[in-house]
Amino acid sequence: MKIKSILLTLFAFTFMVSCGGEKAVTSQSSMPNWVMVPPTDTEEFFYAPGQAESSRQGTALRMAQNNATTAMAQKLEVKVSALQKSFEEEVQSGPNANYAATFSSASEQLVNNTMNGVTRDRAECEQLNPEVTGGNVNQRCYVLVRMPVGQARSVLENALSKDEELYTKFKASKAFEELQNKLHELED
Amino acid sequence: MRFSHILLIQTVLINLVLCGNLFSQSTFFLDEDEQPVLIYQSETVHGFGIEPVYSYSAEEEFEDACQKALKELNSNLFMSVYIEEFQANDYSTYNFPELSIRDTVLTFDDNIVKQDSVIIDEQAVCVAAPANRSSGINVEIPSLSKLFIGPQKVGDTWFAVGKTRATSYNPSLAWMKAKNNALQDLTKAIRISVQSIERQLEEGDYTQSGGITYFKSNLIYNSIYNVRRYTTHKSFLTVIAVKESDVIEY
Repeated sequence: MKIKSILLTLFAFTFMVSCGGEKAVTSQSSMPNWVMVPPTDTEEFFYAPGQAESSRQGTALRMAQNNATTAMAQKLEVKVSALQKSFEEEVQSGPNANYAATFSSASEQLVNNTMNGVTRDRAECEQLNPEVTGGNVNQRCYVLVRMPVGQARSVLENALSKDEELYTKFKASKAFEELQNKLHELED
Repeated sequence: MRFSHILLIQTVLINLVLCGNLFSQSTFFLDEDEQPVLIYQSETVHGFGIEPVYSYSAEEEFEDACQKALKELNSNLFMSVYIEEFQANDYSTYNFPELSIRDTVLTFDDNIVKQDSVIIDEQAVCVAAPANRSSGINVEIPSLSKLFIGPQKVGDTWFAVGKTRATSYNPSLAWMKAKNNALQDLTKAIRISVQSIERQLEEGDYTQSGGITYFKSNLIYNSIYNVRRYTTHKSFLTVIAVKESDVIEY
């Protein structure tokens, strides 16, 4: 009799859990593990995750893929420029002093890559509860893209050749000529 | 003990089958109540025209379907895909896909023939194809569940699936739209350029950041193979194949 009641409870419980949870209508994020901890890059593929929200599932999926593709491009080559300034001032007047300090930081990240063979490896979408989101942006998608390492290598080689191109231009410039002259003067 | 066994089996069945948690695929491509049914398959380049049948003989409908098949064949022999997308600060997105077909008029003659004509679900279907068949797709087509995730490459051939809403009003156009969706997905997979700029300024407690990303994909396809066509009660799905040698980067 005891077994029967336990099994009956189990039956009712599993029915409620499995059937009730069919659609991911949730306000809380059910972020897949592969977004939090993306697969480690292998000798075969590089991986990058992305996520996005939209009122339409198709748009959310496309935006998530775009974000993942951007992450992949950043992984291969990103130019970061930053400028940081700090300023400190202390003015003493008798036993008192006025102290002022400011710190400013400006940074810029540039990505410019062309990639071949970036495909979706995994994708998941969930529907968010409109009552919680308070609007119609209630579709969230997660995408993991992958890119063959061979292709990534060619992107890196392209980046290198771009630098070489820049170096060649620099060598042809007047600034380079002046630098060379200065060096010769120092040698003499 | 028998009763408990039955209960256990029932519990497992409910979990596995009735509620479908284990058997259902990721639901972002198709709704849970959609089951694809294969309606046409071909391994060669062809044009597919379809027209709802209203008359008894369906002669006129077949004629219209064949004209639409020629138009589709034209779009399968040459297609230029140019996609531009902008994304600003993760909130705004602008998508400008442009798919261009060569401005040629095809007619049935010695070079182009009516390859097939069938009635599918009270619709006249006409298939137009080049008389001199080039080599078809001879690699294994990936499963739909794999293609739902994204374009797949098998040997030297790319595969992608596209979907559009099923309609009985001008279904030929809907099938072409499904193909165009597949091509857009494929083009982005084969080649994509990303240009992104992100700026951030911090001053004391004040932080300001912003960025814009520009994506561009442009390719020309010489032969597009519509290898599989599926329908569900609310969608048209087409699986396309493209050989690497038929893709032109510019």
